[in-house]
Amino acid sequence: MFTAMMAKLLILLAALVFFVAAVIIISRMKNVNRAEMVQIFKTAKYLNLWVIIICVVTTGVFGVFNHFKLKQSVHAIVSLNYSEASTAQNSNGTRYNSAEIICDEVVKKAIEKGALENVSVKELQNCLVVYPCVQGGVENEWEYHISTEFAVEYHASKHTAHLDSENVIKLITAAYKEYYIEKYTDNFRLDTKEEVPDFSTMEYMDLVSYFNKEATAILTYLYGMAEKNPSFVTSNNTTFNSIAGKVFQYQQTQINENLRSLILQNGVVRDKQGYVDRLSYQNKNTDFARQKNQISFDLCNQAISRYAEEMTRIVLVPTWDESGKYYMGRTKVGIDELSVQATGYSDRVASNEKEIMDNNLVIGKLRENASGSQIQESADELVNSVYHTLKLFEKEAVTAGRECSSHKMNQCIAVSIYGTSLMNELKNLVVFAVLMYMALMLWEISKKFPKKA
Amino acid sequence: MEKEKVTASFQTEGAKKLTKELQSTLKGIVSPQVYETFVDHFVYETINENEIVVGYYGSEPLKNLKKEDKDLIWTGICSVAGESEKFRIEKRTEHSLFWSNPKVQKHLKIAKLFVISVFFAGIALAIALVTGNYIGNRNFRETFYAVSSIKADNPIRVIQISDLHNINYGKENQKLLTRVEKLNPDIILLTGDILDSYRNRQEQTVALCSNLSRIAPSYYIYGNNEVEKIYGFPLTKEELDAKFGFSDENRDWTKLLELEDSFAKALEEGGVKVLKNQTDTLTVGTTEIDVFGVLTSNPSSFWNYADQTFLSYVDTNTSNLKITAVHEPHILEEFQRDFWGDLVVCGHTHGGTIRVPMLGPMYTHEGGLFPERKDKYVYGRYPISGGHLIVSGGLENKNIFRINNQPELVIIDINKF
Repeated sequence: MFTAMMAKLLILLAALVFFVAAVIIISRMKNVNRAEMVQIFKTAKYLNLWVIIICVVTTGVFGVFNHFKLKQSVHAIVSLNYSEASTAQNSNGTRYNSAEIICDEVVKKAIEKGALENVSVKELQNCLVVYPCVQGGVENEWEYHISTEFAVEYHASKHTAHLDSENVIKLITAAYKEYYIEKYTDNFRLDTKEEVPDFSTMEYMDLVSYFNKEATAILTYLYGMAEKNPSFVTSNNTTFNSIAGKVFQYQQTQINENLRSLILQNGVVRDKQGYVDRLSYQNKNTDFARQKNQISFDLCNQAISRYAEEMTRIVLVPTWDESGKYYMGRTKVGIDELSVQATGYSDRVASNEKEIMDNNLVIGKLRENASGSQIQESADELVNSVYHTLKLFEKEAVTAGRECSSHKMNQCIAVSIYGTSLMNELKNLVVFAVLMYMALMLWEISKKFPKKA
Repeated sequence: MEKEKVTASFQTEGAKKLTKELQSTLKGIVSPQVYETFVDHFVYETINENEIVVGYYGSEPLKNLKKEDKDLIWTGICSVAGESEKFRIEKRTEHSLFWSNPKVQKHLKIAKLFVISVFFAGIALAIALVTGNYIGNRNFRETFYAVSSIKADNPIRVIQISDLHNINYGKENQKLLTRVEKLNPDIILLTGDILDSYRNRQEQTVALCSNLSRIAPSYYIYGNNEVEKIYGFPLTKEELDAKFGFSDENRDWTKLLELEDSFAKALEEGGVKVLKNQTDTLTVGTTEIDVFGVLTSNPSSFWNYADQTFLSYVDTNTSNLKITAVHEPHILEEFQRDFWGDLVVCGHTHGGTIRVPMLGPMYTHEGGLFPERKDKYVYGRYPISGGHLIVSGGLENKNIFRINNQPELVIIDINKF
């Protein structure tokens, strides 16, 4: 701030000298005739040594202050390099908002990332401006333009004068990039568990559920990616759907058939009694839930049967569809709601019963069969093999996702930072030097005008 | 003809008339030969009661003008222009005619004073610049780089400390440590010359590195100063082969690790990993990162002593993010490769000592003047074989000619895109 003030002070000094000299000349103009005035201007020593020296020195001092002043202002251009940007959208199809470049979250992140001290989010935000590089108009179709480039300007204030301007703008744009990637680009993280559980202590049937969940997480990711990028083919000539097909096949055959049947057929269990007790307890709980659902279902049916006939009729209400066409709409009356609820309870009862039956099947199988250590070893081998295969599928899915995003989103946001240009500094110097020279020369000339006629 | 043109350009009408009169008078007094040889080439520079100065622009030496003829000329001039006490004829050239012009003299005087004032202003500016830089260089600045790599699942921050040369920022480098801690890095890379071969301060470096390793996983890569201090000889192919008695048939890079190195032991005890043509793998968030540190960064020895480990680093676990740390950037300048790493960090150049606006770094020991023009990697960021190269200006600050090149702490943020 001091440097900016000093630079302004020097310009003010030059302007003041110019103004005072002009006032003197105007006030003394009445003492000379036109020819004499012309003579004074003609014979003036335009290469006055002192004028030149003062001019050089003040310009030098101004140059130093001006340099530091200009260093406090930096700007960056944020370019959006993905296809949706031309329709003012984020890469995930949501509406693009350039104000997010300097939103609270981004500025806060920039302060944290740069460990910037003694500055608040508001103070930093006040120094930042965002605007589109090319601004279109809305008067007609030809003037309409959606900018994919945005300029971010930073001008230091007294609260932020201690910060390095270039670093601030770098941090803001980097924080925005990170914010954008987190919020709007593809997420490679699968919902699989990062920490590997201890397989040696888990029950085999629990392992089947665990692997099923892992496989489902991979499938969800792959289907999601396939929906967004149906035509993408990886460098290995696979697609998201083909990988998903492999995973699904594996889940059905290896996890749900081979592993599950091996466990059930041979009664493979670590703690038979403990596991049977757990399933029995689970069954009890499920049975309570089933009973509750059954009662609710019966209650709904009873309520429906008590409704008056008139109330069960359909009520038609005149209405209009989206295209403005008239039609008679069917309204929901109380009975509809009850029948929907009854269907829900009925489904839940069926699900509870299935769970109880499954558990009973497992309990029965475990009681019937007693596995030997050899079978247990085979089961352990199969568990390890399933785990590693799933990990390979996970890696394949993530790699395909990365490849796709890299292909589509490479440099989705590019940032160019522009500091002070030397030409800009030189331009200011030349303008100041000319102003100073003119002011000093005018001062010298003003002295030649006689005080009296 | 030239003389006449120049003379005429600054003679008034009166002076021209007087010259004509003098010439015609002298033509009648002196012999035709003297007139043609001497008088015809006269320019009357000063004529007053004290002195008459005549400039002679002819080719004949003035000593050939006899005294009687000279006196005759003096008398002739006095008869036209009036009496004068002294008379001088001076040999002149066309060049001196121009400079003897009073108008030119006046402008010359102003120009001289202008040049002198600019000269002194320049000296004052240079002193201010050097002093200002020296004061500014007592503190380091932070340079942020944003690098993208599709292999980075999550944001990763790398801090590079290079070319410290046993300088202290605050007591026991507390200022440096505090900033590094606040910047919250995931990895710290010490890319050589942290130690200075002329100062015996290994304990200071070990203490600093131990403190850094408490902030984040830290890796130390030797620079030329460490090599000189610890091994006592440069790690060129010739020197290494001579030391171990190797030839192309029996070269074994692992012998390098067997060299006595108490400094590395102290660093390892402090929790810092010293990478001597070795790779270390770590995980940040969900991103797996391989860090390779080059010891034999001399182009003559690199492929002979680091080929196996470097190629294994590049070719295995290709989905891991690869960070290559090397002190000197010479191998990168010397050898063309498809892949050096997703991120390569270097130091050594001290940012080219002086950085001239618009021209860039001015000098490096190896690259000479304006090394960037000779395709040398000197300072900042360069695209390199599908990755990013960052050359740090280093943290050394004792060189008073380090101008427009403040010591720097490099912070690299690696992001997905």
